[in-house]
Amino acid sequence: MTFEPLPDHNLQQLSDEELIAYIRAARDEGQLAHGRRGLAILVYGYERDVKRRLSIRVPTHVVDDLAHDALVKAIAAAFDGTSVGEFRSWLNTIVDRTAVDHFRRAGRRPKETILPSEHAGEDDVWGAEPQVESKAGAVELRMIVDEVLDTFNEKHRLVIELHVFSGLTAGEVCDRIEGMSEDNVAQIASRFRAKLRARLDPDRDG
Amino acid sequence: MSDVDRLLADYIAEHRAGGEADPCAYLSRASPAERAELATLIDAYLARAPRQPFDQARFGGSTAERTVDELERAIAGQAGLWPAVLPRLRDRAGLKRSALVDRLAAALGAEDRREKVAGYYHEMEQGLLPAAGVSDRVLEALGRIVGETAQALRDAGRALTPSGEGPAAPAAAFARRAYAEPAGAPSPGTQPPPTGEWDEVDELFRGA
Repeated sequence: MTFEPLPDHNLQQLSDEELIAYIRAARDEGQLAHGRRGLAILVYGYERDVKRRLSIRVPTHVVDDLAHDALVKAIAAAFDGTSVGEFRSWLNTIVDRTAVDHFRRAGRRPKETILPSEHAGEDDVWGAEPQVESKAGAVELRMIVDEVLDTFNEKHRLVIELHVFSGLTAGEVCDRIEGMSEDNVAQIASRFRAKLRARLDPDRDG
Repeated sequence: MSDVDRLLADYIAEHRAGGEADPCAYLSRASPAERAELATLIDAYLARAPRQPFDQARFGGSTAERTVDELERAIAGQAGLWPAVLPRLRDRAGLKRSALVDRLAAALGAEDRREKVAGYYHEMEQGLLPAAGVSDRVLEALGRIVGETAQALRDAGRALTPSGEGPAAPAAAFARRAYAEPAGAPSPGTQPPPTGEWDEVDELFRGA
């Protein structure tokens, strides 16, 4: 197969898997300069959201380093075929694991993760503390959502994905899912949120 | 609309508009009782958000560009992920390359062949030295210096090239993109200085 370099506007349209295949093909044909463009689109495309997700889990001063590590690991595994499933799902898994590894290392080397509360008056040095400050919490955020989603049927899961996580209005969701009313959308979303709250804090509502 | 609903909606709107969308700023606005719920919802939204469109102007000089530089050297090279891992570990340990080399040479008992150690270490960071040839003794010493296990370093060296053999791509071409090297550093793409006889340092870095 002959490698054909693609212009940026075409590369932007490729799926993650297609981009990785493109980079690999460029490498195999000795044209990694073209593959670099694919790498740039992939790394730039996810770096900020990886940092945002990590900022919920770990102290601010380690977010950049951990985001780098997560992206490198995820792309390397996708590139050499050792990743599992779609790249996006794999990247999410690696982000979770990277946060867990951080806490494991912090246990071995406590000084690495000094929290801002230990630097009273120096918050500008360390920034905000993570919102989820435990190894378990770092992993559980995404697992909890998946677990609660699994209690809904496929159609209702789609409603939740579109309405809660994609920000579509109830009316827009109804336009996409046959037989769904705006009241139904609101009820399904409300049930999802109630189950999520109960899962996050079983004692909260008695 | 609850506070969590409103904050999540505002967050999604800011994210989609290309704003900062810092989760912590929104979480700090939620009541303590609602923070975990909002964190979970924002995280789930981010895990599903589409890939950000590429922006060359913002990419230039960004941390993303540095990561791409490192990955490019790794993919082109013969040392797995070392080009992406070793410079970062060195930075996190707060060591300049010359200081690391001093310590590595001392740990290997090769203070009198420091320049040879420097050449090999440079090749490791650039992805030019086949990872499979580097001995456990080097990785153990290096791991102690940068705060990583020898096994993790070995695993990083094996990544991308599971067989332990590097791709045929010309690694030297990509080394040209490397960050400015200190004066006196070996030229990228050159083989380690095999001047003179094969000695213990060669054995440590190429003989495994």
